[in-house]
Amino acid sequence: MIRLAPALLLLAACDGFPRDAEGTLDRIKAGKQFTVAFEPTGQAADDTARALVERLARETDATPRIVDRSGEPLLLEIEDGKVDLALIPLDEKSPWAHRVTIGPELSGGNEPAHLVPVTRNGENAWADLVHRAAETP
Amino acid sequence: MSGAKPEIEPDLARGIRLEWWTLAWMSSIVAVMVFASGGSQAFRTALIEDVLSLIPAIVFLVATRFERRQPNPRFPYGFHRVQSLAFLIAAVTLSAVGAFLLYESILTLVMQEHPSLPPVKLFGEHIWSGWVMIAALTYSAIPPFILGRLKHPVATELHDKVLHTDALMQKADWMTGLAGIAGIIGIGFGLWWADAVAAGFISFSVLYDGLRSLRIATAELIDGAPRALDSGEIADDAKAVRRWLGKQFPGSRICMRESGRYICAEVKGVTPPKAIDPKAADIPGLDDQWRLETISFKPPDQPAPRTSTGAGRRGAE
Repeated sequence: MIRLAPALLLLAACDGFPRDAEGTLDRIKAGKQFTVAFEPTGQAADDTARALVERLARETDATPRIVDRSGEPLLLEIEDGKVDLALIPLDEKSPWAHRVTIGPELSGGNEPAHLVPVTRNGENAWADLVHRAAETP
Repeated sequence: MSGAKPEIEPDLARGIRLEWWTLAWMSSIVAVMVFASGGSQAFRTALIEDVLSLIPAIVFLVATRFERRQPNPRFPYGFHRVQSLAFLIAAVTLSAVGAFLLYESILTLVMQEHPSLPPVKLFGEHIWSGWVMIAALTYSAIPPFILGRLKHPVATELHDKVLHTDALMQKADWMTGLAGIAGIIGIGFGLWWADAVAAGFISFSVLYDGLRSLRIATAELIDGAPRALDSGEIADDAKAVRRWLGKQFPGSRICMRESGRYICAEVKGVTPPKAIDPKAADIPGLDDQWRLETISFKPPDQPAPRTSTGAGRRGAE
């Protein structure tokens, strides 16, 4: 245990920790593109979602490619890694909650946007970036 | 048979104290683990295992309470055998933990579940939830490591298989905690399978200990010869008693069983001596004289009495 502690501290200092199981963030940075699907729910929500995507684009130095998907097919594509990010209304009690990673609810100004960022399971570096960006005012 | 023997009271009191400490520490660990609960399979498994690990400590405390009771008309042999029942419960629990660990690991690998550990906000800062889980798992590994080591010598002194199984459970606890830490670090490196593989390796050791304990507990309950604390072999002190009785009563058949932590011997096929005191007997190889609770005798079979209803007798044969 005592021998483990310095190793953990070294890990904490690592820049690329945690990493993605399937390398989503590395792919986005290398390919300079990520795919996003929106579900329009209102002007305020759309503005919040757009602000988040722009923030992520700046952070990754990549261009967002908006794809027209919704409902279960969209979640299946998230699960398969064909879509990198979905901004949709999805409850944490949904049966999909174990199959995809649900982020914090976006807030549009003073009101909740009823949208959550949804990413692929196991992509912890990408989810980390998305969650932090979603919670940044 | 009545109550616990005075010779073992100090060790018994120490065992009881250790089990109360175990309940206190393990409850605090469960609370910390629930607080840090996350998406890692090994973490969830470690939490369930910590909850289950309370069972041997609880059954030990219940069994020792019963063991001290005096015999009564409803339980004329006393309550020593409650320890045997408690041992079975502890052994089943340990086996269940090992089987559960193995099942969860295989399921995770087959389903190829990729654990997600998103960041959490703590004291206004975003940190990776893996760090919170590693902190909780580190805490979960330290008390069982210390308590398990403290319990082992007491279990040996008391010939207490429940306490010994509980020490094994504590070993399973800290090993699962370390496996969980390794698994979460693996996830941090993008190795989704690290979690399940780490838990899987540990599960074999836990399951082995559990099944071995279960075998010994079953043997004890079906009146098998007294077994060693940590193996299915016949206990050395039981062998010593058998040797001594064999020399004292040549031509007899010696049967022994274990009633809780005590040995009960039966000498068959000899006429009982006028007086024999197992406590006064200096039996070579029996270091703890208190272990030998009773020596009973069964005289040689008498010829069956002749009956006047011969046809009925034959029918019975």
